[in-house]
Amino acid sequence: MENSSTGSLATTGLAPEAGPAQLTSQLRVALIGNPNTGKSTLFNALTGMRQRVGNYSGVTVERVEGRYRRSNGTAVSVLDLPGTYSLSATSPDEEIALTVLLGLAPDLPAPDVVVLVVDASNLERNLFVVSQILELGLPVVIALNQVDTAAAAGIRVDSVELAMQLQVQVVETVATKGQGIDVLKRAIERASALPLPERSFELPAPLFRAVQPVEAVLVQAGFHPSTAAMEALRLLAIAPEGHLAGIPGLEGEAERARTALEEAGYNARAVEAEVRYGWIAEVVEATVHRFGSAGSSRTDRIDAVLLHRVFGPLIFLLLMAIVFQSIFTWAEPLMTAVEGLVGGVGNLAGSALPEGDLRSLVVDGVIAGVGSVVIFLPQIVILFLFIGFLEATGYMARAAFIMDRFMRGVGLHGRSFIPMLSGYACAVPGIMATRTIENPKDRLATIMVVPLMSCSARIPVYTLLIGTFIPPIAVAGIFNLQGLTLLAMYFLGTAAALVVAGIFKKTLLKGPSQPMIMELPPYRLPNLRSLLLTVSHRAGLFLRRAGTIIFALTIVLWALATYPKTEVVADVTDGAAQEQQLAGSILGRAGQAVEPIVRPLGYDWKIGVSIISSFAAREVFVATMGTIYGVGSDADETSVALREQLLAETDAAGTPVYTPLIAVSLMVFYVFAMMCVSTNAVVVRETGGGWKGVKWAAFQFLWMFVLAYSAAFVVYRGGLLLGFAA
Amino acid sequence: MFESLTVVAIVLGALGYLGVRVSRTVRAARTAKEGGCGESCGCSDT
Ligand SMILES: Nc1nc2c(ncn2[C@@H]2O[C@H](COP(=O)(O)OP(=O)(O)O)[C@@H](O)[C@H]2O)c(=O)[nH]1
Repeated sequence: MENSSTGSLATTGLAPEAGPAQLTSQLRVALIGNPNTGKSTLFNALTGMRQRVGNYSGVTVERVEGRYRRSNGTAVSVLDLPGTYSLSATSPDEEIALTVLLGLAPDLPAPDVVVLVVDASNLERNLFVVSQILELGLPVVIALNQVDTAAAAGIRVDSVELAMQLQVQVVETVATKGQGIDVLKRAIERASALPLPERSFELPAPLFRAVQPVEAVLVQAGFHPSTAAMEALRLLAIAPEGHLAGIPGLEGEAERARTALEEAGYNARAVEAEVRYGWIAEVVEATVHRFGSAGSSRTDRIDAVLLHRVFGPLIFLLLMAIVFQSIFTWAEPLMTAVEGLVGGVGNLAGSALPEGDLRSLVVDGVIAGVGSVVIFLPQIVILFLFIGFLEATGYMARAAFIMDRFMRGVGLHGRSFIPMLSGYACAVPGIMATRTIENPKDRLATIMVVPLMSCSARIPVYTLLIGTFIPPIAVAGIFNLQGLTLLAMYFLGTAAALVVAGIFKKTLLKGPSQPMIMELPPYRLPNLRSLLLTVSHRAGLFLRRAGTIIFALTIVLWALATYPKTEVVADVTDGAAQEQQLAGSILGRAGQAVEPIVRPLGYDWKIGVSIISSFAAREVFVATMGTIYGVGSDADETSVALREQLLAETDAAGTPVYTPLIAVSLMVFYVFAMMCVSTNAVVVRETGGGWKGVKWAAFQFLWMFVLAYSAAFVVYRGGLLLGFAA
Repeated sequence: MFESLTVVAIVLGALGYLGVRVSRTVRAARTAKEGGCGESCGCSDT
């Protein structure tokens, strides 16, 4: 039996790698399947490689590779392809998956074996992409995963019958428990020795006649006949883009085929789905058996409440309120402990080093700056514990479902929700997750608003200001004002994202939006280990960032806040001397230069300068304030926490400089402002790169800044008018 | 003297490090190639 890795596209010249994989050489396996089938989990089980397990895309968009050893010692490399429902569209994810399978990806030969991960509890929907991949002329093994979930939902899939129907090996697995992995490995070994799968249904005569010439063009261009047949069906609905671009005569033949079909009374765009689902229905009929429905009805009963038109959103809000409240109540003791630790380290370093610039650099610059950010670790951990828990139980998918109603209200594609949800962690993966959106206008509109979702870099800013200036007053008995304020900030960002996206969709990026098929996984108990893994991963990233970029920035900020040295008039107190010194430094002068710009918002120059430095990244605001107050305070009080210093700060007349109103206005500013170089860079890249990308990124930066400034202005001035203390 | 030199060295080191990070980010944006968010751009979460 000829090995297929050379088979699909031998003559295009695009696939330089040739020659069947020898038994001694490395075997290349590609994993593919619908999102949420357990592909990542299976990948981890196969390769033992640690990787984040989560419900949302953005993870598998990346090229993830791992390997394992066979019993004979040779390596098997495993490539985790992006999760995809079909290969019929032209989203970047699907294009990546298809190019890799066809061996057209640069520097990646076609896989020797494709492992199709299929969710046993959702066979019908999963079989669509299966039916397409079976036609690619590659050895295929089906991993029938989540048989436990299926059984709990009262579904049994007859895997022997499925293997007969599809003419490939089918292995039942439970990826989370590692069941079936060894069998799967053996099936992978055998796969290339078995006959290649092929299309197992016939096209209706008019369709067959219509696609013949298209197939001929593709075969001419070097495609394997079976692949050509699959691509020809695809081409009825899409334009020849990506790897199909530039094949002479292709679009002409495809257009003729479409016309011929329309004349024969078919809907050319829908005909592929029709024939494939026709075949799928037969396969499902023969292989899926339903017994009882105990499991699914429990999920249904829970959903009846959680997805209720009125109670659903209310419960969602309530849950979020509890989450945000716990960030303050639970994190407070931990935070105080970390604060004490940072203060202790500061004092230690202070007494170990001789008085002078070096000590000031270490204590006032680095420890005060980095320390002021690091103390927010407990909040980050608690927030992601909650989010990870809700995600793992299946509730986050419901939240997406609830939100979808509002999203459609503003004309946004339902698929935009997942990038927006990722945006709560960080806008960078959120923006990369927009690759799953096919329509370029929908994709741009989503990219434009993802940074409005409150990312975790804002948490230090919010919690510093809330913890310091918002009193923990009880509201309606069970809530407290701090948690509610934080909830309000998240809500504000989300609402603004929806409204702005709606405006874009009606003006600049006008176009129809398509509905999304959303899947609601059954509720399940979260896996503690993977939950902790996710949380520690995020905590690690937060700390790594504090230890690298923020660390370096605080050193530079310290230098800017220290030099040039001013001659201080002899007879002032220590504190006043430090204050003069700071005001004379480069940072101080820059601050005074920008003060007129931020004055209308009620901010002083210290806030102004912190805002400017936080253009690098939002949490640098906190680090800058920490450094400024570290440098500006006299040497004896190094260990005083930033929060207390902010409260104690008074102007010449003795009135407090920072008030709750200013804190709120500042938070509102951070809700809207686009202050993150990493995000800017990703936006440039994902909106086309080069000048085009730079223009979109600049546009986004500008409108967000204008929005932020105006909103902060309105809050501050409005607050003054309403009689809140300046 | 020694102290001033140390401070200058540290500050220059920090500036250099930031410069490398920025140029890496810019390059990643320009080449529009596939890339993760981890090390290359330093977002705080993935
Ligand atoms: N009960 C059960 N859950 C599974 C199984 N495989 C994966 N999961 C869970 O399904 C969810 C989605 O899995 P993931 O690997 O992230 O899916 P992917 O989107 O296909 O990569 C996770 O919560 C997994 O823990 C399985 O065989 N049985």
